[in-house]
Amino acid sequence: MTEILFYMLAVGTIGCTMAALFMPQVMESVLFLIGAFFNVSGLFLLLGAEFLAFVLIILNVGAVALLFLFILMTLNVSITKGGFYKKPPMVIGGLLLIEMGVFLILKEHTVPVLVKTTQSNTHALGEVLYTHYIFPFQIMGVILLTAMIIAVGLLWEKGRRHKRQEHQSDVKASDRLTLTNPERGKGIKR
Amino acid sequence: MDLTLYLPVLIFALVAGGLVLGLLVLSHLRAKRLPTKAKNLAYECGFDPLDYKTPPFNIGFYLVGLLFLLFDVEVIFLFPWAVTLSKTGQYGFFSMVFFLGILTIGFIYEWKKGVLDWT
Amino acid sequence: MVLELFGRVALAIIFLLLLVAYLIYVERKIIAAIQRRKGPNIVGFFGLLQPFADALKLLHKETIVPSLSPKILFLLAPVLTFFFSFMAWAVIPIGAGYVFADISVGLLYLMALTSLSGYGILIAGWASQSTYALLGSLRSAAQMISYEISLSLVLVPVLLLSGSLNLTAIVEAQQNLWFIIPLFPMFVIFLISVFAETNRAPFDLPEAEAELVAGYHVEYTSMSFAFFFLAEYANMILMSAMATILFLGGWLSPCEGLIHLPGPVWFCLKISLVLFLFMWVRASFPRLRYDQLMRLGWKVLLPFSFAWVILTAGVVVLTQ
Repeated sequence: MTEILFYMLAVGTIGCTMAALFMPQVMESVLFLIGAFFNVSGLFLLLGAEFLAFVLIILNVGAVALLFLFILMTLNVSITKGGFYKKPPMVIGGLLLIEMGVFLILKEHTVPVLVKTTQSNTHALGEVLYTHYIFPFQIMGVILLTAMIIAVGLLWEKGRRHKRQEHQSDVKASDRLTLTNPERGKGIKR
Repeated sequence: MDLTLYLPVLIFALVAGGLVLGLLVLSHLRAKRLPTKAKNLAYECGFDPLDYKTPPFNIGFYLVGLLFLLFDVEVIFLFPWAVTLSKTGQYGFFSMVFFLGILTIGFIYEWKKGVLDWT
Repeated sequence: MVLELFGRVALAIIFLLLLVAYLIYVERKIIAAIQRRKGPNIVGFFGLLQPFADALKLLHKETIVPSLSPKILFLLAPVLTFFFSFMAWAVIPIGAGYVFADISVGLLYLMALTSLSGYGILIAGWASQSTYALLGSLRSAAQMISYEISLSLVLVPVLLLSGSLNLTAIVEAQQNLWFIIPLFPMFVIFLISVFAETNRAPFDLPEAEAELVAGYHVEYTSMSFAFFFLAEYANMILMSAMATILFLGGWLSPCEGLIHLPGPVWFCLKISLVLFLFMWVRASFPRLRYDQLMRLGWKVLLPFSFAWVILTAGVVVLTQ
């Protein structure tokens, strides 16, 4: 049963990721990306990592992908991904694939073993994360701080309270208003 | 952990999904539809919509989204900490205080910069 | 066994649907009473059949899809909203042992579904291809994510005291003392965040009738509109249930003498109390301005709940 579920989720993950890469519209890509996140979360659940499964949904779907959607919605252009958007990911993906192959050949196969514990894995995680892994944890804090400052720096300009999107200043009066001088008795045809 | 615990969740999803689709189909079957051009236009006070471009947006919305993302990560870190504090004790407590201290710097920076004001 | 489970789940969902329909009726009655009106009183005794009349009417209305909208996404948005608001009930324990899925991370499951509810609104606003809908949905999404942080921060002190993410365990940790007593300020912040999260008055800016003509559901008619409407009330009941479980001791009876009343009855009574609060607030407070709303979320609730988390943690560590 677990095997069938695993293969379903694995195929789902790969399929959604592929669709996210090759869909012509960015909006569709984002929706497929969300599908991929859900499948990965299911895989975590199969492994018994409940905490990670739900955190993946809360953070990646509930925050990251939501932000993507937010930005795509407010951008006026419907971006169709041209050659430029397609090539670099392909190259990087290919390189990573080669690296993975080399890694698998050079390193002996060690399949991670599921450790059965009586306590829930949230507790197991909490007990080591803040004591044993305290240094990576604090580094995480510094990274978040950096991200906060960068976010402000990107979207906030000195002296101007609001930065607005560029394309909105492009609207001219002539886009909104047409002046015509209709002939008498004819009216305007739209 | 037992995967069968999640079986009711799956069944809930199936039943709720079935109900939603059923109601949608029922409404499609029962309701008359007489679409006209004017009826299918997007709503605008009395006249045809002028253009279909996205209206201008305050960039503050993006900023709110980004800050939400960062704070959400931070809050998620609090969850395993909260349930195990009785085991990790003072060490865990001060580890988290230090972590939050770092992030408070960012919060104060934003506050002073005026990012949190919405005017 | 699976078939039996199917039956029970279907019964629960139908019961919930009825509950939601009558909640709308009760709200109209209560608000009418506060404003010295009569409220619905024509259809059936005291207007008791009003919800059915409304449902039938909406079912027979024409579904209008704006000509420029992507049809699938347009119809998907209300379906998603409705779906998520009902999915959450799989983990809510209404009595000792009365729960469908007693998973060990129940609270995270609820948080995940709450964070997903923004999607319905965003997709609805985008797919409507209308200025009002887009403005409403953006406002709404920004408001929801702002208050989601304080909503999840409020949960942390509860976790500190209970030491578990399982909802049944959280209720059982309140045997001696309901968490509302030591964590009263958190309960207040929880309620405020919940009002904002469910887009209820006084935080109903996305629907502000006067300026945004009902915001993101301006283009929706018929069943699609009904889904949004039902989902809003289903979310209200869900959040009341969360408040009950986290702060009001779930199904536990308030004093020794009343212990014979079964747990689910207590649970329903407590939910009704919180729901009444929702309506009372709606009838009593004026709508906030958008900048006031954001200031309240980011500058008042967020720092305050952070401070309270540290305070509670300090007390927990010291009293060990």
